[in-house]
Amino acid sequence: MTDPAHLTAPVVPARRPPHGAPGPLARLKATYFPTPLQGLLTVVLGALLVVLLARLADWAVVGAVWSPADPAACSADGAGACWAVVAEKHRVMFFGAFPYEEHWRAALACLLIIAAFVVSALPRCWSPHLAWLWIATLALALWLMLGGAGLAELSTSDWGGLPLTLLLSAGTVSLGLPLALVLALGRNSTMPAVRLICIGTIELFRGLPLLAVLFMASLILPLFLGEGVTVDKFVRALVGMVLFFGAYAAEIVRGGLQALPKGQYEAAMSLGLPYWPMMITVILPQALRIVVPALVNDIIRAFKNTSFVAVIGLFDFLGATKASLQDPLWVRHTLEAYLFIMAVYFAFCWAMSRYALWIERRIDTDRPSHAP
Amino acid sequence: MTAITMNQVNKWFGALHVLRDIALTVNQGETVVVCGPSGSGKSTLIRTLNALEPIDQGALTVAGIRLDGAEARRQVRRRVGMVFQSFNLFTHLRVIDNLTLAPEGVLGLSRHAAEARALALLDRVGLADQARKFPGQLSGGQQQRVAITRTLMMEPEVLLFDEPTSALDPEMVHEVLHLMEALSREGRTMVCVTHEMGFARNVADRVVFMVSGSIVEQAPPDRFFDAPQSDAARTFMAQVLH
Repeated sequence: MTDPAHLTAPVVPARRPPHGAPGPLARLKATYFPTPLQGLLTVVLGALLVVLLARLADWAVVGAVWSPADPAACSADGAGACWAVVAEKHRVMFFGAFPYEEHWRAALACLLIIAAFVVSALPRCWSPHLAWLWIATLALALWLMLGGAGLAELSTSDWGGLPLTLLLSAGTVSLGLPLALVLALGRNSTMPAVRLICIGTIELFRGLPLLAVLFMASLILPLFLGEGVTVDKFVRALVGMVLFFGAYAAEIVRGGLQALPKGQYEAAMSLGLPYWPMMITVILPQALRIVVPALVNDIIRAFKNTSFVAVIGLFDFLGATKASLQDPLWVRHTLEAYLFIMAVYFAFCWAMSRYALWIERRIDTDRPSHAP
Repeated sequence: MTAITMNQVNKWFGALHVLRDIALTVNQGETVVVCGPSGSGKSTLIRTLNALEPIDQGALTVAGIRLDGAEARRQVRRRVGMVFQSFNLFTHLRVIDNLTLAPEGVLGLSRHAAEARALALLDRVGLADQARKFPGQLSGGQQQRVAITRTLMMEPEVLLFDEPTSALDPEMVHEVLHLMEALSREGRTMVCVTHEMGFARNVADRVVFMVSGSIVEQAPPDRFFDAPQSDAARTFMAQVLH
């Protein structure tokens, strides 16, 4: 009956893999003591690390001076880190020359901006409506920072410290991103004039150092505007930052536009969608999703770049700290103050880069592979 | 009534002459299958019919509109539906939103009317329970049926299919061909580029055979398959039928 060359077998039922996960001890051994030589290295480096950490702890915690009551204590023999300088100067570091009794306004503006960034970071909130959130946030923040309508009036020359840094970052990103979209789309335009203007803008600002852009904005812009017209120093810095950020972000957005399969454009066109509806409903939502991690990277850079404005006489977080350390009582303890603001900068940037990693994974799982 | 007229149409990609003196008429209600070896220009031909590829010479009239200029292109695209090899569903939108996007944006239907039309059509193609899913959650065959439904949403006068089953696993080809056959039976005007010779034989009213950018044979399917006139057609058939 059956042909001996025709073999049959039942389906084999699925089984567990043979090895369970290795225990923590086994993993530790495999990582740190795989061979005697590597084990020795682990011991030597480990001992070195312990000694260094102990000395660091001794300086930063055990021998540290915390209370600003007596500046001389910091200079005493055997004294460790002088954190007292931060306790003494933190208001000036954070808020610069902003009037002391109005600090709450600046702090509130900071919180608003941070909240707007957090909301914008959530994928479920991604929609063109974010524009309204940012208009509202910036309007409120400006009202808090400038006063009027019931609040004491201030000017941008009173601004300083972290609020200035955050306002510059928020302004750069919220104005720079729309600019980047326009530049990226314009660069792909079929209209030669539009394309040339966009390419020119992008290449000009990508080809200049940020410092040069800031000098240009602060020194050359007033020349063009002519006698008598003065543009606020903050606005000039912001214009420079926005153009610089926009040029870089435009190239990132363009990368996203190119990464999108051509079929998405063709499907939209074949349904009769005109250019703008196609871009807004089909192309940009997908293209931007692809480049969010790269954009976050650029936003981190824009945040750090705000410290450049010190060169045109604005006192951002770094600048305000530097200014606060002119006090002869504390001038010998600038290291601790700089370490502290380094930690603050790091906290912001690290949070953003962790977010970029998270969103990258999230987008990968969100985006189903194209079937064929 | 003619739905499509191509008169002495020529097209070049650089120096490459991809469409050569194409003359083709498709009547309303007719199903035409375009076949030929790869590189023969059949995809380019079908893509000129809704202006995804512009032509360099000749005259092209689709759904009563002479294709020249941007306005004519817009009008033609509203009246002509296109189904692609790789489906090209909008991956960031749910099935239902893929379907309602153009009817709302181009035809001006209300959200309510567009959804009602979408659900009725999904029901017809047997995908009513998939409306809230994302394209990536569907099988290839289901995605292609959604893509066909998306073109039907616009109530097109002409349907174009560009190798609609070439990207599908073999077991899913059938469900797509079945739907295409049903559409042909209800009298829609269809132009299909496909390698499915069974479909061509059973469903098409006419087979158009292309070689090197030229139409070398046009015949009813039984004539074409049983008595091909050119060597190229005989060679082609020997290759695809085995």
